[in-house]
Amino acid sequence: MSAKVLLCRCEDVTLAEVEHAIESGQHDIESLKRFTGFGTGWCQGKQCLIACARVLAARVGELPLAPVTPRPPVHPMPLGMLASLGDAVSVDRVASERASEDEGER
Amino acid sequence: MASRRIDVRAVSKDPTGQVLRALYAYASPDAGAPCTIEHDGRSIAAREGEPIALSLLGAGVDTLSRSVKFHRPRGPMCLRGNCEGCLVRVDGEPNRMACAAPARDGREVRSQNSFPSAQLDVLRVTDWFFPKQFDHHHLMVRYGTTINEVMQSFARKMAGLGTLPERPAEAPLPEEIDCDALVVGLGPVGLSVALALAGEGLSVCAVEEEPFAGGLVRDSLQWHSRDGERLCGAEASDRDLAKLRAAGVSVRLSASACATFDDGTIVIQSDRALWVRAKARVFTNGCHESVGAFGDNDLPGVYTARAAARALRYGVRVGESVLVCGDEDPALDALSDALSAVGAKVHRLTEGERLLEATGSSSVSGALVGRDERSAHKIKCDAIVASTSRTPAFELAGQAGVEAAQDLDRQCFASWADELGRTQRSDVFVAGSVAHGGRSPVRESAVARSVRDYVTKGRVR
Repeated sequence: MSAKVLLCRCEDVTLAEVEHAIESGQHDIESLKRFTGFGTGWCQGKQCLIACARVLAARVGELPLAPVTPRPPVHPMPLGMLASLGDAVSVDRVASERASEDEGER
Repeated sequence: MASRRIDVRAVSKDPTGQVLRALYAYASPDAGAPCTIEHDGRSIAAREGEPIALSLLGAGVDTLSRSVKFHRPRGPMCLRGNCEGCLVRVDGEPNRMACAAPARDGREVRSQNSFPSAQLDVLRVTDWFFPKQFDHHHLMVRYGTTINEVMQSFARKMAGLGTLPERPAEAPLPEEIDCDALVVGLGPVGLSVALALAGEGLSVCAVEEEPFAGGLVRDSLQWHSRDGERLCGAEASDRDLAKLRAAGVSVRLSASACATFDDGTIVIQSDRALWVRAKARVFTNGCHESVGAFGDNDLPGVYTARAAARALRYGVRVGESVLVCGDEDPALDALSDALSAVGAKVHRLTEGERLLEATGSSSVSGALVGRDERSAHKIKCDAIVASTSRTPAFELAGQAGVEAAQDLDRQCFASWADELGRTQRSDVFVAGSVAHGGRSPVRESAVARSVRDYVTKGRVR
């Protein structure tokens, strides 16, 4: 049996899969991520983002100008703990502040 | 499987005594009371407080989990909370990283996502069914809807990591912290910057995701000089940390910054959430490590160089016969010497050779190496240490609005900052190897002055 080269361990994305995705036209790092699902698992791309970006660079000539957008949480956290933050974080307050800023700009 | 615990009395070929010194902090007979944990019904001898992943590795167990789609065998690779290899169920709680969960007497550790166990998982057939890849875009579309529906319901049952916990999670009240500066990451640069910030008279909160400070210095197998004394990495780091605490910095260990916003930063410290409101945020959170791309690079028994060094510090050798290879890295020589000193047979590659494939069915039993596929030959080994260039952990600073851009010298992405640690966000600073061009020495005192200028004068460039 042939060996697999794993680029993204969390989501079991292989080198063959990334190469296939690039051949089928995913020539920027965000599209490549969406097509293969690399970087969407437990570690959120800590190992695989650069591995996939380098494979892409070898095919299209250069490393992408920027990586994929980093989104929270960067480290896995239990939902219960997020919920425990409750009033401290006060999403409603942040949202209302943003809304009033938008009003001001108009 | 044979024990991989190192007997400190049997250490040889250690002319300067540095291996013994690095080992002694943890492997000495009086470090960590002996205890017993249970793994899939088997009793494992452990030391109180050490990472469970190392208790198991010490007992010769390196296959801890199965991958999510192919059910390929997995084990700890990074030993620092950055990979998925050691996810297990601990005391009824799913998805605990065995490298970050401390051993305690009677703890029950179980495999998840596998049947009957991670060592022998019959769902492995998935891996053989899809020899190259799992193309979920085109899989099943050519079959009739009935087969498709059956397969989908099967796939849905299989999906996900672990099963629900036995008890509802308890979440204690969060702690709210207000400070002038939050420092994320207490490697050598973070320690210096935090100390300099306290010296500037700022109130500082410093968080580090590991249960100790020091980063790469702590895991190094070289001597470090502090106050005219020659110390091992762990001792030097503990001394730096003591100075930081003495300077009045609020230090939080085992504290992972998970998300950062303009209003504050969410930090998870052990079992509790912190909400840190800081006037300025300083990211000194270093780099990620990986093993690079080669055949079956995810087999249990493949480790980063840092993981192998860390295992040594806890008195465990990653294998009896170890292939050490990777990018040019002086740490690899020190690691090879240390592995030899603790009785492992060490293999290195010759000029022009590279690692092509790890071999073995459920964990490493050999490696295929050579200049190319045709000249490949097999080395018999039970562990592979593969080191690649480290890549900046730009994600948190990125969440804070700091641009991550190509760093062509290092062929990676890094957070954009000037030599004073300033970024395009006036309240966010970045220093050390996470920053663009991070190889050059960083002047921690200059970074601290930039932060002070911002906090005290609110100066916006």
